[in-house]
Amino acid sequence: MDLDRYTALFLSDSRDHLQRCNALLLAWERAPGSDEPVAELFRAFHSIKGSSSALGLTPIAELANAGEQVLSAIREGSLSPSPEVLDGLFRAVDGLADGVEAVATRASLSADRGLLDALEGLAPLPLEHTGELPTHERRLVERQRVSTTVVRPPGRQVRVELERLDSLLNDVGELVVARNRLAAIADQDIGSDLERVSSRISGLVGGLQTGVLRARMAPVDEVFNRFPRIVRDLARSLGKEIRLDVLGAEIELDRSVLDGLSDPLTHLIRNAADHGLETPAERVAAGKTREGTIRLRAERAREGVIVTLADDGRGIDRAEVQRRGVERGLLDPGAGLPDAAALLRLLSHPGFTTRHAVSEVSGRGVGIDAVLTRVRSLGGRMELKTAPGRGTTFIMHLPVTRAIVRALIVGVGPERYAIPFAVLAEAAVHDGEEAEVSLRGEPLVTVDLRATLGLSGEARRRRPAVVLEFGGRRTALVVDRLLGQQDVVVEQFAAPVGLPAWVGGVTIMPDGAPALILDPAGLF
Amino acid sequence: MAHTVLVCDDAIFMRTMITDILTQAGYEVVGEAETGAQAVEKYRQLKPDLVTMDIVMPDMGGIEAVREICKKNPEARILMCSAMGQQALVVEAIQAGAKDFVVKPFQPSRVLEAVQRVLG
Repeated sequence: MDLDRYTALFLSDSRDHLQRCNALLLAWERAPGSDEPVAELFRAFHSIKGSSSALGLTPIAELANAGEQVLSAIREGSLSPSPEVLDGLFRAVDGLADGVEAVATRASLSADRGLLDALEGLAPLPLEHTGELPTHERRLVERQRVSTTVVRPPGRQVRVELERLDSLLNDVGELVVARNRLAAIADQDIGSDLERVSSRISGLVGGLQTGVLRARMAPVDEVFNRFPRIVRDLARSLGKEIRLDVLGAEIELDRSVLDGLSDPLTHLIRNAADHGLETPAERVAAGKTREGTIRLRAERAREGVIVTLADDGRGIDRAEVQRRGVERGLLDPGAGLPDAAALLRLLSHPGFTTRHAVSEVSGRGVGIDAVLTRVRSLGGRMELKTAPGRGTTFIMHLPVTRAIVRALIVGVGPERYAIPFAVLAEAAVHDGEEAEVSLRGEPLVTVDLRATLGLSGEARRRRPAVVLEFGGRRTALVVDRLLGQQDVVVEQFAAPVGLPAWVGGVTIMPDGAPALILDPAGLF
Repeated sequence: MAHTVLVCDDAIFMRTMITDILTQAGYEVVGEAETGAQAVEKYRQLKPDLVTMDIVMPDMGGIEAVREICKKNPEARILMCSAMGQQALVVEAIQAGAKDFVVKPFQPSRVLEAVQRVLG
């Protein structure tokens, strides 16, 4: 038997089932009167029981069976879905998830006797282990017969290992680089056969690229759907009342971006629940609702997706962050209160708040550096907004994919740089007389890339500038030359220590030379 | 000519496993169904020589599907696939028209024995 293949099927199937179980249990907990979810939960446990026993994963099969008994008893009416019973089912789902992940990592499986006993305490197993459980199962079948559930017609789908799509995407990436090279050669001979074939190949490669990228897209729900459970558990353990609103769960992102988002979002949600939101008593005293809200939202934006995580808690105390910043020598004592960008820079300073009681500054510093680093490594950027007493919002701008981005190529000195289209607003001209670039009479915060790079020598007086738009403001970047637009393949590389913040990545140009991709957030 | 089979189970895991066992033994799996309702519809379309039928499925359970199929096709040859502890349901399925049953987890040899018995 091709065990690996079955194991892979078992893993993906069971993960789907368990995720669904969590959602069903959460809905059930909110409306305990309904017995709607029982049939589907039962099928999920039943299916995991079947496949795990087929693979000889006895501890998982036993646990699934014990959970199935509890659900049968509820169906039968001999057990009511009390908070204690639902907790038991939540624990069963967790236990199964642990088991499934142990299989995934080839760790050893062991039976959780305590959990099995607890579940069997709720619904004793039939006397013979394989004995009769006919009545409730028959009822289950009876119910299904009369149920009028509309089942979504299943679209024909195939499950594909992400690694295969990764390697396909790598090849497409190489192909894009080669195509760009070919186009550069062919364009020297406009109208030739070579140029015609090259242009045809360009079109085909473009189609292939779009197709492969689309195949890698997955709805953010695949990561978002674990948060209701996390928030519920956090609220319970913290003694708070927390509602999680999720919007835009159907928005799609590249699988690798999506997977990379899971940890930072989990982290920010924990922070929001733990430090951002107040206790019910504090909220009432402040004239707010007892229940705090965390809002998680995904929306499409120009050239990307914006994921926003907002809480309506106490907000970050800027004065406290300022005091701490001065104390640690990160801020000039004379400086005013930090603005949002400065606040994020301070909070993301590694270890900024770890020396002190985190609650004094809402504990926002804990791990924010890790979050920011991850978001940047995904090719995204993050902003922060906070208002005292009104809450804190993290805004993540993410590329739909991190593999290939459309960029404007600019030249400075002998080198070329790529600026992602996502941040481009328009082009302007910098007249050397003025310190700043003006756009329709309005002066913009201006950075000269020559100065950033430390290039010496006289530059021409009139030079091109690109107007960048990010973080809700417009800035200008002065360069030597605009060289045109191009799809650039973002190469994975390990960032060396001391890499300037404005380096967002690296790519290979059509002539084979490397070029840096600029991260404008690090320039201004 | 190879016998044709319709495999009905809501778990892709089980469908894959049954399909593998049957295909390796020279049977031709001509279709798969995930719900009882699909099983009835696919039976109508494909008229397979044999159906393997899970008991617990969404939409319409396996037993009801057996009843539906046998109502119109008394000659249908259906093999029930049950989990441990579903003996009473198996009896009900056989009353409804199923010819035999196997119990999960499957041993390929047991499945093939049952299939041969049903195809007679």
